Amino acid sequence: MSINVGKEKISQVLDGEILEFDPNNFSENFSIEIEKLTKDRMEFVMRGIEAPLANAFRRILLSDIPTIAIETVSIKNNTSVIQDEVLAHRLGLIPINVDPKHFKYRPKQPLQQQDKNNRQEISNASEENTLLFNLHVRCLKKTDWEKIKKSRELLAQKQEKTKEMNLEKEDEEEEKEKKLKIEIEIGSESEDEEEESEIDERAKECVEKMLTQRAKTLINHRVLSSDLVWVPIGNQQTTFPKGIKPVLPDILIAKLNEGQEIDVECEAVKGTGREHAKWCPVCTASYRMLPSIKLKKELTKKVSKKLVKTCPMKVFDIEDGLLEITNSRKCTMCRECLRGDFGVELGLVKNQFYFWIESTGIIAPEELFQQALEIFKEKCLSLKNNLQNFTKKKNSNENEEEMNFD
Amino acid sequence: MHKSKKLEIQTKNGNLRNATFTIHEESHTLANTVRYVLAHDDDVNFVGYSVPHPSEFKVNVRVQTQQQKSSIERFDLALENLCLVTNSIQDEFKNKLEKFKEEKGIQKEEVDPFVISLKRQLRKEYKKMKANID
Repeated sequence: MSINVGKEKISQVLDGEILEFDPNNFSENFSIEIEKLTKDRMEFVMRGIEAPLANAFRRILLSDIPTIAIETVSIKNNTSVIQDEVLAHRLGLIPINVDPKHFKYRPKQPLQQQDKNNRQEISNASEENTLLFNLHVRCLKKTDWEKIKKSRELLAQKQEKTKEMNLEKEDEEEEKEKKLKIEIEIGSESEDEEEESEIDERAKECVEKMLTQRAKTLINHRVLSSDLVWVPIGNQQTTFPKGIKPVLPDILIAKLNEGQEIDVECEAVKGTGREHAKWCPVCTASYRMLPSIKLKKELTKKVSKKLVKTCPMKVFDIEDGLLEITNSRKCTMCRECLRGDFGVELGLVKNQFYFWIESTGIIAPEELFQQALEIFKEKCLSLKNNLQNFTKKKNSNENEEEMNFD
Repeated sequence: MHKSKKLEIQTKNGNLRNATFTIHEESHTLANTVRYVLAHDDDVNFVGYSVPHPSEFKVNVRVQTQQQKSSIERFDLALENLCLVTNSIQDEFKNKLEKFKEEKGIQKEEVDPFVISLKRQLRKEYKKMKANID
């Protein structure tokens, strides 16, 4: 809220700094510097922009960019220790590596479409708005698994005799075997025999401890996100020839003991972070204002050395006998330099923002920021269209107290 | 859910100098930004916004203008300016991103050598276990 009576009054409100906003000259004062860009994280500095705009982008990054996550879980069999709803909740939080642009939002069905007589819900699920995943894992003892394997080998031998008749059955059995085996994704790096160093020995001990007794005698005792198998519907096989997987293969969903089984069918749907945090495309998107550090008085050599020591982030340094501020970016505003009588003035520069965006891996961080800007523009434009429609209507209906419109 | 109104405007006796805009399906994201732009508008005497209740997804923006100026026009102009500003931010970001990618490219995260060794050992173990099963 601001009262535009006179500029002197504004200066009182803004601590003596008058930051003008001129949309025509905005690009002259505005600049971006990208500091760091990796696959999952982007850090950059924006100068010449103010808090309301920067915050708007941050909020859009958190809540308005759509992604795809598991929404409905049909549980056929769950004899594990994890409760049904907890399992469904965990499945929803797994990030799925697919570009949401290919999909539409699934419309929420109005109640009229439910066939009350048959108690069957007519679903709006289609290939345009849903992804199907299957999760079927059974935990067995290694010895039991070997027995099952043997019996299958015998069956296979029998079937080889009547090949033509049973070709289809073999395919089914292969698929079942694949689901029951451990599917741990081994990276593309090749196995090199390298010299054992200290680090390797420590790592070996760690691995020994991690492989507990259970892991050695059971198979599938850990249900990982790599066990989620994508089931293509309609023409999804052609749109996604490489298949759809979760972003990371080793997210632990549940742990099983001997004889326990999880058999579950999941439907993934497009949504935004506003509805549920599982649809949020960023781990976090945040900003801080850059600090402004000023030295108000000249200090003697002794005092300067003391100041250099007091700062825990080593912001100050003595170069050529003069005290200088070298790493102002590292300042954490701890206020240690204000405790002594050093004459340091500490503040925040209100129009410089150090932004960082950590993506969950679904969308690249630089693309996320660009999408956020697009969404912001769309919001402004749609509101503008509404306003213009309003003025047209108003010209035809005058002298009305309250004016509402679609 | 059938989406109905987006925008309602309340004025006294149709006088467009002072108006309250009730915007549905919006929050602080847009309202604070529009308020900020209007606050720097010389023709606007007063501007403020509020979220009437956090459970309801709407905002109220109050605009009061100088003589003979329509608050709707000012609001419209503010939104247009925001679009222009966003355009220049987009262009600047694209340029800087291209430059950065040319010069440095996408960097790799620094990983602890112990973690790399750990992953390698794990892979070996799991390969052994898989071989035993097969």
